[in-house]
Amino acid sequence: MKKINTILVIFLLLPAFIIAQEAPKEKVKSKPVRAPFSCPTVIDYQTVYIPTAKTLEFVIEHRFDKIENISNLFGIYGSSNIRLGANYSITNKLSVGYGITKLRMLSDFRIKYNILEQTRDDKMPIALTAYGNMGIDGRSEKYFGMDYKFTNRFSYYTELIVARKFTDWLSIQVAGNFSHINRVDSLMEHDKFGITFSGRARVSPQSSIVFNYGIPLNISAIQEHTTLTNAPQQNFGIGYEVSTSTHCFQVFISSSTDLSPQYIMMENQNDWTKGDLFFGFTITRLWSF
Amino acid sequence: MKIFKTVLLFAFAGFILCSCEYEWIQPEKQPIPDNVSFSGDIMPIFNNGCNTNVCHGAGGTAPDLSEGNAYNALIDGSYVDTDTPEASILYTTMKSGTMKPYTAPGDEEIVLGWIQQGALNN
Repeated sequence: MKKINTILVIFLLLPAFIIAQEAPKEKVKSKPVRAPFSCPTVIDYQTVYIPTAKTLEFVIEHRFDKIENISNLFGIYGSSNIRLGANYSITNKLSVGYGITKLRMLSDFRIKYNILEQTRDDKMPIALTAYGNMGIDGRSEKYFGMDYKFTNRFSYYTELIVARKFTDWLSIQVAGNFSHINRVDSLMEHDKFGITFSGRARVSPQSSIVFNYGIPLNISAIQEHTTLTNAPQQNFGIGYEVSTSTHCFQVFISSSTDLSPQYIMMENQNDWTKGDLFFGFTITRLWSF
Repeated sequence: MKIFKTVLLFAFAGFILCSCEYEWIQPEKQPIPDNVSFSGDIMPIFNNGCNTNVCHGAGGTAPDLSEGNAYNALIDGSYVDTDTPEASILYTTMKSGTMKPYTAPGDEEIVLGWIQQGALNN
């Protein structure tokens, strides 16, 4: 009887031994950090965040008029710029989208690809995302002058975004970007490199303080004019973000009226140090299929 | 799927590279009349998008560029400088400022011509 009991115990424990033997052979996969950014955009620029596969985003971006005084209710009763857009995540790492903006009646097609994800064990200390868009100016032909061609309407923006979630409450990203507009005014440039800084400081489980700062780089080697008549201004924005798994809401102050990054980089004439600031908000709704 | 993504990526990159151009806007030659008329030359520019809805229409953002109000709004609001026409806020805003995206090439020169001729309510 004792012998049978011993065999029975060995038989019952055998699977545990087998599992214990096999466990070291399994390759432990590093997990990505949880949400370095909760929203696809941070005020005027993109973040490294891409929603999970088969998620549809609907984005409403709104910018009010310049903050002046109570007579225009600090810009809220003035003119506005609005962008309506939709993005779809084809995979966890790739999303595509389309949007239309009131200013210039600009249609834009965009693509965003997550190249690297920051991991919890820090084997990969950063997240790296590529973003590109192509804009089509939808205004009447007369805005393009003589010898008009349809391709005169095109503009482009490409950027590489590097982000790091430093702590549970602080994420920072830096992006290098390149903008191009096919046909510009005689005083303007066709190309512009730029750099942007953005960040999110979480103040509660669902809300954060967000900021961004964009710097157009006036590189003489690629400049077409020896002196820039209307050099683009640096762009500053700061705001408050509330996010859930299906919504993202940002309300902010920004020095840009444009909602298209290439035009912010190339044509923004608002100087935030002189008080050229605008209230704005962005609402993002996500549906997972 | 990987091949599909690669083809898509190359097609997208190819399209972008092939459609990049370096062209300048050459304004249609619009002769500036010897006597620029505020009602005949300037108001049609404002009526072409400036004074609609909440932009610079009646009750919208200053200056009010609607019919019957535009002249007084521009003069009283000091948007026009007949001593130094090129420094007029109306002109600089249309030429290179925030209203540039709404200004058809050449329209700002007609406005400048009107200011140089004394900014008359004619």
